[in-house]
Amino acid sequence: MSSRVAITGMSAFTPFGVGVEPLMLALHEGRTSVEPAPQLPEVGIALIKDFDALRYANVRGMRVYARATQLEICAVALALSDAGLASPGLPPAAISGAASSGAAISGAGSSGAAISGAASLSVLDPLELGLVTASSYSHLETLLDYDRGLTTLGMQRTNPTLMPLGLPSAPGAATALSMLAKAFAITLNDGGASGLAALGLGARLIAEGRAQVCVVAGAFTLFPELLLSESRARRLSSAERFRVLDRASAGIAFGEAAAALVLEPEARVLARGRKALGFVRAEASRFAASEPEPGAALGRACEAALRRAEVAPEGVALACLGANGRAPLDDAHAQAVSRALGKHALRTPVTAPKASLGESLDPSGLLQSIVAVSALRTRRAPPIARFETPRVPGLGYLSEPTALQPGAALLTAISPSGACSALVLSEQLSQRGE
Amino acid sequence: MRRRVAITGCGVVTAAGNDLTSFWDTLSRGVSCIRTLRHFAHAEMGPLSGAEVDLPAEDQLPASIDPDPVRARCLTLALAAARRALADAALALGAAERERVGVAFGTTMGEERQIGDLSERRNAVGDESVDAGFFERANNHRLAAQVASAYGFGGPVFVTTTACSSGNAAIAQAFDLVSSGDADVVLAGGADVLTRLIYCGFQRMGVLSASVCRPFDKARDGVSFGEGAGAVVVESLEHAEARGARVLAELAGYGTSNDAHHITAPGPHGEGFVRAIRQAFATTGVGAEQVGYVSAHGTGTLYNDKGESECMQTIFGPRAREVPISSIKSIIGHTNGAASAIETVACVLAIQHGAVPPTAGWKEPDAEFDLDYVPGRGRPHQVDVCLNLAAGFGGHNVCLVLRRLS
Repeated sequence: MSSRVAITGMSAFTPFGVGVEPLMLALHEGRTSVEPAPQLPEVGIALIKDFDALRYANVRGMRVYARATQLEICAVALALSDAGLASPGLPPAAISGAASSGAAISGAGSSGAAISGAASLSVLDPLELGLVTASSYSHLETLLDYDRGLTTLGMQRTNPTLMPLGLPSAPGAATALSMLAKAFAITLNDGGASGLAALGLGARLIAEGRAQVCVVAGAFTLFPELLLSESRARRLSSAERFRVLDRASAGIAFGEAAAALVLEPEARVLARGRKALGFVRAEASRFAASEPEPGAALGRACEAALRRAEVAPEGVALACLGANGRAPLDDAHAQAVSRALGKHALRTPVTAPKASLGESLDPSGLLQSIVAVSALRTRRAPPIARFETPRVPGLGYLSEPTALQPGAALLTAISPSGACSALVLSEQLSQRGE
Repeated sequence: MRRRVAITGCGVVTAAGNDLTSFWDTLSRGVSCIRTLRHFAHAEMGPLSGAEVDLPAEDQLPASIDPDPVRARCLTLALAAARRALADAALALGAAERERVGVAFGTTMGEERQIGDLSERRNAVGDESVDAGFFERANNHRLAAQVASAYGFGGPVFVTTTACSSGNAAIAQAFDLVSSGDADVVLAGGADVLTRLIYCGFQRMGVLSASVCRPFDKARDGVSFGEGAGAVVVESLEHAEARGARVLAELAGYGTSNDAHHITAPGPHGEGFVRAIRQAFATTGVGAEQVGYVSAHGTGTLYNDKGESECMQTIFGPRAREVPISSIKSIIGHTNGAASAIETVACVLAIQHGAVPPTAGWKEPDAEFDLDYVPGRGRPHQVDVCLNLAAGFGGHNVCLVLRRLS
């Protein structure tokens, strides 16, 4: 169904910088952005620093929005620019203004091809543009602020504009409003790893013709309650000990991020003379009711996604795992891919970007997708940062940058509440093993 | 090849009843359940009105899931509606079949009471109040995840949020999952509770009704809220027939749109509703002339009444006056993300009973909006095809198309 849905634009805000290039450079160098948390130095976190939303998207109301919403809006604007498109809510003139201040467009191009400038962007019809937001928590900081105000200041002295922005759908709604996305605006929550499922939903909506362009986006920012709660649950690692898929893994480290991908029907991409960066071949989701089961449930999701994509295990050139340092779930990722790829598992390169970025929850699947698309395009996969000894042997874990064969990428995600998703991406529609 | 999709089970927990018979009876009689609240209050607002659910003891949440029933009310309602829908569908599946069953729930605020609970404890004891379970409890996904865990479902499990159209959005997602073959069965619905955020927010916006909301009435004075949950078992027709299930209605498809107009106000002329309905018609093959009933969003605000009524005139033209349109929100209150899921159940019952529920409390026509709002009590009316409209803050519109199975 989604086999002809193309990815035409990508953007990322990560602790490594703005855009796909600084992200891929850091990953290939095996760097990690995880540092001791300033207020809680025994745990590691990765922060986006010096972010000024107006530098990237000068939209009305931006100052009122929480940082996660600001990041999502900016990621969407930059992803559209990368696709050669402009939102009707943020026309080229506004982008030009933002771009002149620094990094809005230059350097954000995922394909490596320079974007010739805002003037060349094609402004979308609002009715053509849809938005899928992957979000489980990005509203929560505003909701906490608003509710704290009600209990400490009282109703009359609490800023009423925060109320609608505290709804779980608000980050997506604010982004759709900023971008004038009128086809649809849907927020998907799979419990904290919604990026892959959101891409699957976006691809489905495009395949059904419910929009001509769909941006799939998500953002995650840290707030104190999250760190305190997870710290007390003893799920967090120190910066020093943070490892992924490694026998020395000691827990997770959260990392701030925002990402967006632009999806279009292949026919439309060809008609406007663009080249697809990659294709969404298939997505499948399954649920694991208890912690020992995620490996089996994710394995079923991987098998279903590969079957739907009509990609055989030998056609998988890269496995890009959502492993985050939480040992049982890391094991589940490894077991699932091992089950899905069978005898081809050992020779299939495996990478895991969260070793460099930390756990960014909902946008993490989008970042994995960006990493996979970039790796397939350059035929070079980044290593798993600081990886030494596998917890689960039998997979082709990468400890250094590695050349890739042509083929598809298999991506995995597990949310803290047990939702498991697998996504198959490819650079071309038909490749080795298909 | 898309599969046809059936609804084979319904469940509600509402102020109008926790079983389909009493729910439909209360709707049909047009009896409002909105009254002074007994279990929810806010110190700055005096007595509040709304519609509360009386749950039997067997619906109480096990302490192992959450020891605090007040803060876990939304999850409790979601599980209660899910239990009823599954029982109504007589769904008895083996382990392998349960792996092909998904859950899609919608909510406007979901676990907002977890935040309120934290704020209050924090005022008392500071940051020590942030316990190890807070992060998991505050995640709305647990509405769907706990349902899936309770019944061992292993298919796709999501929460969809499009504010107050979330119930319809979840059912639309269930339609996609089933029609595409990603799942054989999806339990879909919505749940929401009365919260401080909603009451304080709407009070400050000046759109909280002082008494009982009166959708489409000239004397409308705002929104009345309710708590509740609704769920439907969405199943491929093929699967339903194979297990000998009773098909209550066909879920023909849906349309969706976004106003992108304002963070709270809908588009001024109902154009978002019109686009959602037209997309629903285009994707289902249903024509306006076939529609026998419209379940309105009908919140009791001027913006909504105007937009929805203008939409009816655009869609149905000269026939607009002939198509009954009603809102059950003056009976069970606006249950936010649960509303359209509960209204989907009402649509199924309308098809089943050959009758339409009323807009309770509607008395005085507004000269600008001259439609058949079904005043007073419900009435017999053949419904072969109906539309269930829902809208939410941020401009999210979702229209479901349900029809009698041919």
